[in-house]
Amino acid sequence: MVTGLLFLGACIGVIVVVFWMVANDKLRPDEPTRGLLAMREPKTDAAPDPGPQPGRERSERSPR
Amino acid sequence: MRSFVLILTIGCLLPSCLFYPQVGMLVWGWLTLMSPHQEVYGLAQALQFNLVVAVVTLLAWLVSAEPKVPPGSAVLSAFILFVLLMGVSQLTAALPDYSFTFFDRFIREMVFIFLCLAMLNSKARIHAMLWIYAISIGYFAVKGGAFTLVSGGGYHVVGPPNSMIGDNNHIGLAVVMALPVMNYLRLQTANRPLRTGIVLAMVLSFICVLGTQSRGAFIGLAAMGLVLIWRSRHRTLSLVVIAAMAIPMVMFMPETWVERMETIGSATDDNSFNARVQAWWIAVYIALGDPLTGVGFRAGYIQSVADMFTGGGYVARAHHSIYFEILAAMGFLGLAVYLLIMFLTWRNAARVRRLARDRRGLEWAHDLASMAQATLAGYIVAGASMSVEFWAGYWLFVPILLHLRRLVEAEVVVGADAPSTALRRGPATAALEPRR
Repeated sequence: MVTGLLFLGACIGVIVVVFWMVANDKLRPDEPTRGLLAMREPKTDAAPDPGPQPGRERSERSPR
Repeated sequence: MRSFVLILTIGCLLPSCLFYPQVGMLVWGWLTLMSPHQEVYGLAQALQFNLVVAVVTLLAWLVSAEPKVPPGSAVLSAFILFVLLMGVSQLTAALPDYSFTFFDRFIREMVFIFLCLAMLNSKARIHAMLWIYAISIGYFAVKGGAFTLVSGGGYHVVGPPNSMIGDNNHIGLAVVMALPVMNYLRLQTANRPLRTGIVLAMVLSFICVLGTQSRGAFIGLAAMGLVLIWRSRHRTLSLVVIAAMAIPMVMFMPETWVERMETIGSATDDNSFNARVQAWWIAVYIALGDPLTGVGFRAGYIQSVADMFTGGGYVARAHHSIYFEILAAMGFLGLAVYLLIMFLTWRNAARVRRLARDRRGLEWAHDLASMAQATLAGYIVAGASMSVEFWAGYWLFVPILLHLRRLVEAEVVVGADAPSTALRRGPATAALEPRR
């Protein structure tokens, strides 16, 4: 019973993913995705920061 | 009933595969990762869904406007070289008919990965493929985790029969690798109930790994967990969350499980481990005898082949290691290219992390690259004691990270003049968030 329900859920999930992908495939990179599986929008502070600092790309770590 | 559901699902998706080869790519991925036809009885078990979907998808891809050639890169060159070496290894195999059974299976996976290298080229496609990944492995993880809980830790979790993850060790590794994917989806999904469902699936997945009773998967879980914490923005919080989940679960497991895991520390006294070491030595002798081509796929399992290279005295069996399997099958050259692909894939993830850090609109890429590294860490460590060298769940990360890097590089070049904006995350989502 549990396995059957999970299997049904997996099949429905795959169908949902496929149709979500078709609906969002042609979006521009900066456009937000839509639908059940929509991805989170970036949260931003009011004040912009100056962006990545020179030299930071060289390091994997960032200061705490 | 399940048979009917599967036929209905494939029947519903197959027409879309004809018009959208990218849909076929997802369905092929699902059939490869989950092997749903092994979970049913009756008619659907006998039908070759994978073959039908593969043929339809390839035909649709050929006549579509989709790119036919993947973007040029070092990892693509290494991948093509590796596939060529697979062909050479088969042509020069010690037992060609025997090896061909495995070559046929593995080369189909490589065709699927090549298709992904060509078509997995947008944010929606990558994200959708990761959902397919999570659903496919999550199905076994949730089921296995639930049964482990209900049986008080006595249930022995195994994967789908006649698949690459049928063994308890292999399904354990698959679930370990799926955990960071689920975490990425949790971080990036806007729908709150869906996020809650993913958290529940993650908890059950963790229990499932314990329920496999696999020492290799347990070590892989530890390695993956360490990278996950290391890549987290709030390491201490992540450590506390993981510990809060892990300690009660480990205490919940029966004494037999604890005793089995304790043998990890005394592996050299363990018969199973010693047999593996012997099988690794066979692989080394084979590679020394045939360093450029190896003896073909899985041929090292055959006693006569092992005796030919070792001179006798070793009992032939599975090499139980991604590295030694490749070494025996394809020689030192094959292993070198295999390791090169692994290194380049890891480097792609590291590059994405550097480029996407603190850039508005690229948080998803940063999260994905971080979680991909955790997944790869699990595979690299646990794979050392398992024969999953051609499992699609690992190979999928080659195209995913290649295209992720290209998308991020394109975005960074386009947005080079635009000021980025600082990111803000709430405390509720802070745990297990990738470190920026």
